[in-house]
Amino acid sequence: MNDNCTENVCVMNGDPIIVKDLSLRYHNRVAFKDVSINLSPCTVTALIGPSGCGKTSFLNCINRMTDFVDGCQVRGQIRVHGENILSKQTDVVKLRRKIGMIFQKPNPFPLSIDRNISMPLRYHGIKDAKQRQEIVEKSLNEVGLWDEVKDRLHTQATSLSGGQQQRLCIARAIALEPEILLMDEPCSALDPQSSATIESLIGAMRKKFTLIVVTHNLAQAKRVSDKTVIFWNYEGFGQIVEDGPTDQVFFKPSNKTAQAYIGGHLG
Amino acid sequence: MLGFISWTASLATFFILGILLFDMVSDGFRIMMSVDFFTNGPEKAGRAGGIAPILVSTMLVVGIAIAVSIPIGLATALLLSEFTRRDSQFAFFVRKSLDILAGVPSIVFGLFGNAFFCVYLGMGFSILSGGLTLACMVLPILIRTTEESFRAVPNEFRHGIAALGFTKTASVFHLLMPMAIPGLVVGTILGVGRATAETAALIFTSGYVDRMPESVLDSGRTLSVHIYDLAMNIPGGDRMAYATSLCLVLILLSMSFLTNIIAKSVLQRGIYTS
Ligand SMILES: Nc1ncnc2c1ncn2[C@@H]1O[C@H](COP(=O)(O)OP(=O)(O)O)[C@@H](O)[C@H]1O
Ligand SMILES: [Mg+2]
Repeated sequence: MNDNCTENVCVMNGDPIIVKDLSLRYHNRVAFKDVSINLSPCTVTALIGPSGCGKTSFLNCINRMTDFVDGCQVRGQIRVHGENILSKQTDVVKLRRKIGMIFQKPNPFPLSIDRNISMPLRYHGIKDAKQRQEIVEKSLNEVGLWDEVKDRLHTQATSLSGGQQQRLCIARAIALEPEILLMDEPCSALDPQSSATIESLIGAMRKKFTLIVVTHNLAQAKRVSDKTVIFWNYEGFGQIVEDGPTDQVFFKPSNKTAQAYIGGHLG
Repeated sequence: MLGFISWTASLATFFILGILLFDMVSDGFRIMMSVDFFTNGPEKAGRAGGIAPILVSTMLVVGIAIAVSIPIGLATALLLSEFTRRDSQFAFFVRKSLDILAGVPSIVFGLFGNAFFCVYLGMGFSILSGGLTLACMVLPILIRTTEESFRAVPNEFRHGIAALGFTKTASVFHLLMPMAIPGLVVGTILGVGRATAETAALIFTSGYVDRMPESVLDSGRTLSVHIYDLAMNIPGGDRMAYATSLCLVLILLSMSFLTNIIAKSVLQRGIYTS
């Protein structure tokens, strides 16, 4: 069963996520403006920048979680497989089925550990209980949680530690085999040890999904990502000041602000 | 001074409760324990006999009220909490109306029920009219408590389940409803309690007839109407009134006891452990 994990390959095969002239405002307040960027498939892209510069807002556009915020207006385009997902015709439910999301604060449902993963699987059409059980085990294995919880699959998920809860949320998302996984500061609410576990998990998932990880931890971005995007609050709203392969962004940033931020003089 | 007043007031309350309970229990208990109290119908206008048809009518009236109000209440609460925006004018209007309705005296519901169900819809004095009137009466409270229990579910779960590709409706059935169940149960039991204790709304709708009802279109007398009648209209009916009161109080007490137990066990265990 474990060797199933390695067979999984990234399904995006070649199509980048194309973001064009994306702007977002809450009521009359602009959060970020004119963001254009191509996010490479099957890579880990880190979004970094000081807090309040619109990283979470940007991430929420990609799976249309922005729909839940009253007064939130999004302009521009985000193309996934060529289709503009911001258009009115987009089937957001289908979209979110393909684009998983991990929230800053772990949010396992107040159900058993097992049902946290098997309930969504069942809803998405896996009616065979045995098959669901296999996927539950496989996903928990991938996040390194199986050995810790295999004897208490039927206890409340909320009884797990914060780090375990976050890994359960990751297992819940990857059990549905998304193409893209959005992670919003997945480690910020966790202790260093759980944070390290999740970091190595991101490394292990890099070839299977297109990963977009928001982090405020520069060292972490450097360790886990292939590409890095720096957001900055400039003239009152967020914009991208630097993007490219992580090595380049960290060692030869072209933008002055980015240089100061990477060098630790700003932010 | 203030201390003295509140002590006197507490003592007075305690005494009134004591006198009430003493009369009710001392007179009522013996009658309640007699063999035919729960099996016979009232005799001599209620001075003797039992309350069997009255228990049956009560159960029917309350049963109809609950069967009608739960689905309507649940649907309205869902509409208010999950399917309208927070700043919606419509929801604001509905909520305000419900709050006003919740404060309307029950006798007004009785008059409305009489005019609408008994006369306009031609149901006459019947258990059905009474049940429907009670449903109207408990709905405002039921809707608001149910809505509150949905609101108590934190948004992070709504976002979490939406991010897993659930439709709004599916997220309600798979997650929000199970999470709101403790509140739903408590709201329902409160509603049942209020319906069971109701007199005024029923006098004009389900009526006074103390025979065993043959269908819900028959008039039927509920426990509290029976108590009212015995105490007010029947000289020498007070001992039976005490016995019936004791019976009613015991039913209500066990309901609130049940509510506490359910609420506690559900909160501790969570709805889902399987
Ligand atoms: N729901 C909201 N309503 C109004 N303003 C918001 C909301 N969410 C975020 N903002 C504002 O938008 C800006 C960007 O926030 P956010 O995307 O959370 O930044 P980051 O994740 O980089 O810290 C902030 O100034 C924040 O105050
Ligand atoms: Mg954020």
